[in-house]
Amino acid sequence: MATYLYCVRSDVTTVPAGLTGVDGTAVRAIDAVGMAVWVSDVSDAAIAPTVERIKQHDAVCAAALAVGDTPVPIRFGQTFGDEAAATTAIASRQATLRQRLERVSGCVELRVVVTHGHEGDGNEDSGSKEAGSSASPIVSAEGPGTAFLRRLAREGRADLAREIGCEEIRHAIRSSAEPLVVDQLRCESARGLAFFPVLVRRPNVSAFRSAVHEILLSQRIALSVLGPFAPYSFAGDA
Amino acid sequence: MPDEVIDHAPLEIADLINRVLDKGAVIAGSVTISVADIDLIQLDLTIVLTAIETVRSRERRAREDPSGHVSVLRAQ
Repeated sequence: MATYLYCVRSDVTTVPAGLTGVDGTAVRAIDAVGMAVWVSDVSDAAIAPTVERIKQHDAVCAAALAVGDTPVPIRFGQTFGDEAAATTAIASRQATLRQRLERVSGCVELRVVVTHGHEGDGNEDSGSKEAGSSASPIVSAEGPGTAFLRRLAREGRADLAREIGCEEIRHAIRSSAEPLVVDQLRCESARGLAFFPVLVRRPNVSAFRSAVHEILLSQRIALSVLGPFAPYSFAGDA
Repeated sequence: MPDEVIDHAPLEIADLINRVLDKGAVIAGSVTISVADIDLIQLDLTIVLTAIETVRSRERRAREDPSGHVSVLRAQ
């Protein structure tokens, strides 16, 4: 049986009873140089990715996040020949993993996903609607940047407008909600989404969402704040 | 911000796939992921992205050019 990895954590927390992972396999914790690694036994080392399996992997990381301190989630699809091989590999990277665990301790990841980049209503003069609202110190709804984004949207460049809008929002959030942000990464565009991950302390999740909402009052960019998640984006390449 | 009801399910699935496949610590071992070669994921994503872009395209088509001309979007 191969050993499939889900996450690494610094505290010794009991795996919730009945927790299952990929293909319904039982999740258990093993010790690796003082760190707890949540794993399950899979019949084949080659775990082909499916949406269902990805959901199962994420569900285990979410369960780990729900109990005890924040785990470092492991990327989908990593298996070892057996438990000993997994332990050896973890041990060989323990310094980096401990550094990552310290970085994400007490935090969760939120992902700000831009769904429209200044193309929400298509109304040419609708910028005047924001005249009475509180403008962001970074982005003005009346500015040349906004006009440029509107032009992109009109020209059908929704993807580019979304990416630029994402970066605008990221800077606005960095400016307005900085005390709530432990860390944030640059915008990415992948598989049709423009997004950026933010690391926030667990008690600050609601405050962060409220701060984003306030920023959006002066914007014409539609977005969603997804999460909280185990901090995949801040786990780095251990 | 337009007042519209957005079904977040496709968005969440696309984000889930981005997050779990592309991020997280890499310990090595037998890594089965090669994102460019994931047929099943691509299939599911096609459905997700089609759902998103179809709605957007219809909105845009109706808004921009009632005659039926549609701007070409980025190929996924």
